Amino acid sequence: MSNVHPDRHAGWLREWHAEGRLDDVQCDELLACTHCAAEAGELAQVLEALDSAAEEVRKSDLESDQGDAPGQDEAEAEMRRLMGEPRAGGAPGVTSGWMGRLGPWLAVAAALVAALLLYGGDKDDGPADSTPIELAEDKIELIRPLGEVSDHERFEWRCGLAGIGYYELRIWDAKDRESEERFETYDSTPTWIATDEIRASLPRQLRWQVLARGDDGEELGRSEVGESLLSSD
Amino acid sequence: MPRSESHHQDLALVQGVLAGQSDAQGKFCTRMRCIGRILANRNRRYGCPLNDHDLADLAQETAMAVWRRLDTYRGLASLETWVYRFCALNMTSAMRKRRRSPRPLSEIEFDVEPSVEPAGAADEAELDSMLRHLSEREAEVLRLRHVDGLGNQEICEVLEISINSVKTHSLHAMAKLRELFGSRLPKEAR
Repeated sequence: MSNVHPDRHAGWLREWHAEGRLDDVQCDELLACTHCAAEAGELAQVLEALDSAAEEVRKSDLESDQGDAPGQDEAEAEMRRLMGEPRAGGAPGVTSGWMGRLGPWLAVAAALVAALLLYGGDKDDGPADSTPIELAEDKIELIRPLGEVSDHERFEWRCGLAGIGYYELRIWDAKDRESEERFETYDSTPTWIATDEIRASLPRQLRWQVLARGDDGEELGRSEVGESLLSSD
Repeated sequence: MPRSESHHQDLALVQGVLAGQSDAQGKFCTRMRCIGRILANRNRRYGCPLNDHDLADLAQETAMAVWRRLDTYRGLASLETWVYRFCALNMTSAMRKRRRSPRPLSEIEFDVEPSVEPAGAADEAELDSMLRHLSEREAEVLRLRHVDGLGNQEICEVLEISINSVKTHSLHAMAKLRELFGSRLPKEAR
């Protein structure tokens, strides 16, 4: 046991507090310090008590079966439904049950929009510039809606990242960051179409951001935040 | 059955599912009924903020998340324990969303006395006895980390706060607990 208490110990103790774990070597050094040993020992005991209580709670959640829990049939049926679909490109990626049922339709809509964009439709509401743009490999660039727009139906962006499984859109009221809703694209097409129902619920002035995710859901990158406002016409 | 053997069997089951073996898929789907059970137990634990319809939707959503990540299962824990984190993450997000939107009066149940003791009430009481000394946010961070098994990055996404805030709340929470409970711990254990 040593009475030497270097400054780095305080940082390590803080890390232990925050992370709940510490490198073995650092741990040994702390325990060899008189000043830190008591604090570290107490902390370990608190963590153990906390983990033990938490483990019991988790075990109870896993094992307790009080009859027919709602959602059991739905979980099983949904899994059977998903198994009937090809896994390539990730499973349908929408965020709620009712949206899950819309998944195939959203995919068809996304494909139609992609075809329209490719073969030229609706020029006055098209992307600001349809010529291919070199995009940095680590960049996601928002295209629309930005600024004042006539609708919030079609969301588009460009992405220079490789290995995209799907995109996650985060949309919130420009005046209320807490109102954020998250939506996911069906595949790696950089477009998302809001259904009528979703569009009706979107705020007039919104901010949005796109996160690129791999097939396993890992975040690969994110765009800057864009803002748009529905014109009053 | 030794735990490791059980996990090995779970891993083999998942590999069978991903390979498209129909018997493995059948067994797996039955096992995934646990999603509904876990969500229902957690809902009960938190005083039933979600109704049956919400739970059914959430179960579907969780099944979808599990399916999407199934190829990342490595057999380090049982299938149910692995699925637990998906349930915890989705449930927490759903409850936070719910708290942000006003709840129709017709959906509020006024039964104060539950007819049966909630699942794991004793364990919950023990955990609560520790967490009630903390602020709501501090307790939430510790719950997400220790009960739900989420990492700092996941916690900051669920709570929509920065990773530094997660660490700060955790730091304050642990310091409070150490102060409150540390001195009561047996000396020989230090």
